[in-house]
Amino acid sequence: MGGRRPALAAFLLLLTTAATAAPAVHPDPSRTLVAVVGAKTKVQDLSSHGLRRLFLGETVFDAAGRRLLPLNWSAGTPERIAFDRKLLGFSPAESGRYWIDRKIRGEGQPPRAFAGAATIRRLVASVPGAVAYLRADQLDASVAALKLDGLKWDEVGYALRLAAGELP
Amino acid sequence: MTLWLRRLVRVLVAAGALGVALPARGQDATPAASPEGAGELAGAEAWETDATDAAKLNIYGFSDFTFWYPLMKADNPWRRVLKSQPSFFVGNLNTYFDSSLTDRWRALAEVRFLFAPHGTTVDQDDGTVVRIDNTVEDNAEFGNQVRWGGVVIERASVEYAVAEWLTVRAGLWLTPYGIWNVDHGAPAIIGIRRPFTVRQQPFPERQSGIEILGARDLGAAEVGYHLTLSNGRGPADSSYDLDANKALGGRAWVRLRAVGELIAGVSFYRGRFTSTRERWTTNAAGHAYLEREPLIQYDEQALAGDLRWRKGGWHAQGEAMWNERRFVNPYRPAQSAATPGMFVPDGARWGGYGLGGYRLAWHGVMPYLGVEYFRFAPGDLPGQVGYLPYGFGVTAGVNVRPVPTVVLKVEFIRATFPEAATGWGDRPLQGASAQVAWAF
Repeated sequence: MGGRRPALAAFLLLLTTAATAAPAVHPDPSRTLVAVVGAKTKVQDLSSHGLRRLFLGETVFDAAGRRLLPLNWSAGTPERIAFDRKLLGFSPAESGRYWIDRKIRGEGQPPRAFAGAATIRRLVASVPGAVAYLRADQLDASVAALKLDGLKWDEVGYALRLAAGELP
Repeated sequence: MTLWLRRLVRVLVAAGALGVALPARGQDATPAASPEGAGELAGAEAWETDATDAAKLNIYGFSDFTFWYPLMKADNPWRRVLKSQPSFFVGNLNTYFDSSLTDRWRALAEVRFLFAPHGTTVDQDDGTVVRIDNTVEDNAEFGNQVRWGGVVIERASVEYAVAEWLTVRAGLWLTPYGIWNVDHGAPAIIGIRRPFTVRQQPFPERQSGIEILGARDLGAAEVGYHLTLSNGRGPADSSYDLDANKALGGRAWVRLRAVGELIAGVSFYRGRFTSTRERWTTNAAGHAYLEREPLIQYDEQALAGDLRWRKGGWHAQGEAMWNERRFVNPYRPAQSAATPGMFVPDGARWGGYGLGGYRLAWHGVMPYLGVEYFRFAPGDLPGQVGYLPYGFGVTAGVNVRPVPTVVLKVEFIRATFPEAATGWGDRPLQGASAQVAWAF
């Protein structure tokens, strides 16, 4: 009798702590971008620097030596505007100028871009090495969320977590 | 109900309430409205095929159209070596053929279409100037005439990405030095004209050979390199190396993102230029052979440093270059036909430029200001110009980029040559230009 009361109290204390800590661990899925790959891919983790280089058009390989293919949202979509600003430091105009100048220097093409989550999910799932980003509430079983710098998308410090107002 | 059972019920009720409050991860929320239509899906299917199967060819390019207005008096000798009258002209029409052959192989070719040689001038030994006329009959339409021009193959190469830090490129490529030579296209460069120092080509503009390049992201900084091995510079260097000396070059750069974006680089080049005199002759056994001996030959080395900084709307860039040339005796050229017995001495050309501007959010308007200093090597300028050791230049302009693919520029240039020979040195070179450049 005397041993059960402290154990039950400890259990209730743990439950209360978890309840009060939940908002910091689980951000608003509609306001968080998540780097994704196909559900069957073996790539699970990427550095934020690597993701940045990939979406700036640089050559990035995974650990198995497969070249990663970036897949972007179309210019003007809220996800693209937020991603460019958050990870690349570009305004929409700067992004446009960056890719034109890069082509003239002979440094390659911009990532293909599409305007819908369903299309992006389908392509990420079907094209080996494809890497894209979605809002957390756009994820489904066909895609897998990439860790960035070892962090899951719902952990504090995730590179694509947006502050209030960062998603147009 | 026993006490422990009542407490257990309370705990279960509390846990159930907590589960409802937490969002379900991975569960599809109400799908956001998505604009996928037939066109979007067709594009997606095409990309699926391209990304996984066939090589895809991309064709794109740029062009520019300029109006030049000389701001010099009629008797200014500089007016006679430039476009002497206000003139419109299409300057560049460049097309790229870019193919991702596989996920590691890539091929790139860039071609510039020219009106030249039609309309260009050639100085004769007797001082007369002949303007080339390529007007010919159009064989597709009786009585019609056409003026044919030329093509410059700016680059044609294939490359293989071995790793993120190593790509091997073979073919004809732009020499990876500094900023301007790589940016080179009118929509990408801030101003209208090439800086005088770059115009003197302290480094070859392009080379035929092998280039290896790569970069590494170190977190706070990114570092990269280029190393080149080529035919070097010569009268037909894209196809022939007329000496056994291959040219070496390279660039190392670092990119820092602590305060905006800062890129700093250093470049080097070392090679031998050889032009030859050739004639068929016969040896003692009566067999014909091509006798070839150097006509002009010199060794050269070049160094350059570059800096580019961007933060917000601020943009600043600068390059400094130095090239030294040492002739191999007796293959030293004469100064001119008018001065027999006098030969071009060894020497160096060097100089640099700085340019700064601020791009406003309003229609992408960017006022800019540039300064430059350039020192010529002996033999750099036509003999008619005479003594002209160095010059200063100031450029002021506005670059407007209302959309990423179109750039409008207005620019004023003034260059002075303090120690130049009379007639050239006491007259500034100045004028105004307006240009529209576009990428397609």
